[in-house]
Amino acid sequence: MKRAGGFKGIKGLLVKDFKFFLQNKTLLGVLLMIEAVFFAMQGISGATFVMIYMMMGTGMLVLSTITMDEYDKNMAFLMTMPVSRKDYVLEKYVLSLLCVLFGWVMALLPCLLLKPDGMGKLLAQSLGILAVMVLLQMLALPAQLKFGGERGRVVLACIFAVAALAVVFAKKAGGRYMGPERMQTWAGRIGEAVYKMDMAETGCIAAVICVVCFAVSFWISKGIMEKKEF
Amino acid sequence: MLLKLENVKKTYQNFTLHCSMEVKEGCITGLIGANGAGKSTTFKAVLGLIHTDGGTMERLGKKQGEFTAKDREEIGVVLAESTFCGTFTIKDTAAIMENMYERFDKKKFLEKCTKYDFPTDKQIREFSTGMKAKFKLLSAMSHEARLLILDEPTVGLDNVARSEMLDEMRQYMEEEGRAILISSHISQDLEGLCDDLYFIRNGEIIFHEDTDVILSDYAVLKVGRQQYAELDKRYIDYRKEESFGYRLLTREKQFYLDNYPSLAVEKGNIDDVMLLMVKGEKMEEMS
Repeated sequence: MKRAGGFKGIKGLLVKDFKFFLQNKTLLGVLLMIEAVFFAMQGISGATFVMIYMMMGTGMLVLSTITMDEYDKNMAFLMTMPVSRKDYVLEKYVLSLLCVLFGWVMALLPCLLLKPDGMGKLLAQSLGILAVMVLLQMLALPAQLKFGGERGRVVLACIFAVAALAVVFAKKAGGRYMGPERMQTWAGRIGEAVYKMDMAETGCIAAVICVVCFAVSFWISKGIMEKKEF
Repeated sequence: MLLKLENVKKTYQNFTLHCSMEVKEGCITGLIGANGAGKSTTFKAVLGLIHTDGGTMERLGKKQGEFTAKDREEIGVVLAESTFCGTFTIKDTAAIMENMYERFDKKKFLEKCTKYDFPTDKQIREFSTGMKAKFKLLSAMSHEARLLILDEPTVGLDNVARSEMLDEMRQYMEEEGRAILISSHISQDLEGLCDDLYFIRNGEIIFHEDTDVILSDYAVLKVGRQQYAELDKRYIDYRKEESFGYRLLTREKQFYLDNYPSLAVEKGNIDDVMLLMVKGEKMEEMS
């Protein structure tokens, strides 16, 4: 007899979440409509904004599936099914990647249709945004699993605020102790090094950073989930 | 043995579960107790929904470390307060279970749903309490599990629906190698269904007996104060003071019927046993 759980369990969870998305097709419709309106008004010049908007929107859908799982003690029943807590976390990460990729494709399709000059540059830009969005998801998923629902989003907003403050503080502190000129030279060297890299090198570094963040984030989420009681 | 708990412990701030019990193959075992006695905590411990603080547990013959998520395929569950997300329809849940369980029989499940007049396209949250209870039970029985863990499965059902669901459970047990652990507030359900019963109080199992023995050997004696003074109390387990004298629980009904023919002896039932154990005084502790 074939055994359930593992891939089978993850497949079942994915079906559950896709069923949830189908129930929220109006929301998806609104996302696509706003995208269409934006492209109609701004043309290709608004592509970057649309990319961020679409990938963020589809990423948020994944977080809402966690809220739904936790609503009305549904998670307790879910955890009686042949899925481990690790399977549950893995499914959310797979879903997260699929959703952000879907947002990326949906944002890129109109660009392909409009055939702008410098499509290569736009594609590279979109890949950069995709990497950032994947990283944001890696940050958002453990926060959502730990704090759940609205609280998770508040915590996430706080994390972003702390990160922004840290950047401002680092800039100020760097300027104070290193001197503004040395600081600029130091930052400039990094920028120059990145600028000098070709597409393949940048892509490889971005991919490595994403994989490392994925592994760390997954490990944290697994720990959070394993400690939970229902 | 499909389930064995030995000194399973779980401590909360104001409550400690300390439970030992067994569910044998081919048996329906009932777990009874008042609200907050520890029934749901026991179920959660069995299902791995909470982390226990001590003791050992064997599920489907597998020790704690050997029991994996895959083995949950063999366990069908009804939880009192939780089921599928309320926005799903029966068709949605069938699709999810089809992709989750190897032995989920979609055709049979949908046939059963049609038999009980469930609208397959209606959201579960719009179901009546009774419909929801039936749906939860049918879902638990839909994937050929060997062990059913049912926490208050008949709550909210009217008499006819309750009888139908109890029949479904009996039918389920016709296949060999299966067992059910069930909790219910309705003692009649348990009397007619269970092979044995555990009684939990303040997190501890204080009583375990075969249902047949409870119904045949246990009795409640109603005695005046004078009768009580003259009574042989060796076989009295619990006593409760009443306006007329005492209500006494014995597991030696025949002894009192033979030796005290004038006594008012009422055939034992689960409600009396529970009531006297909770509200009465234990005779051993008094002597």
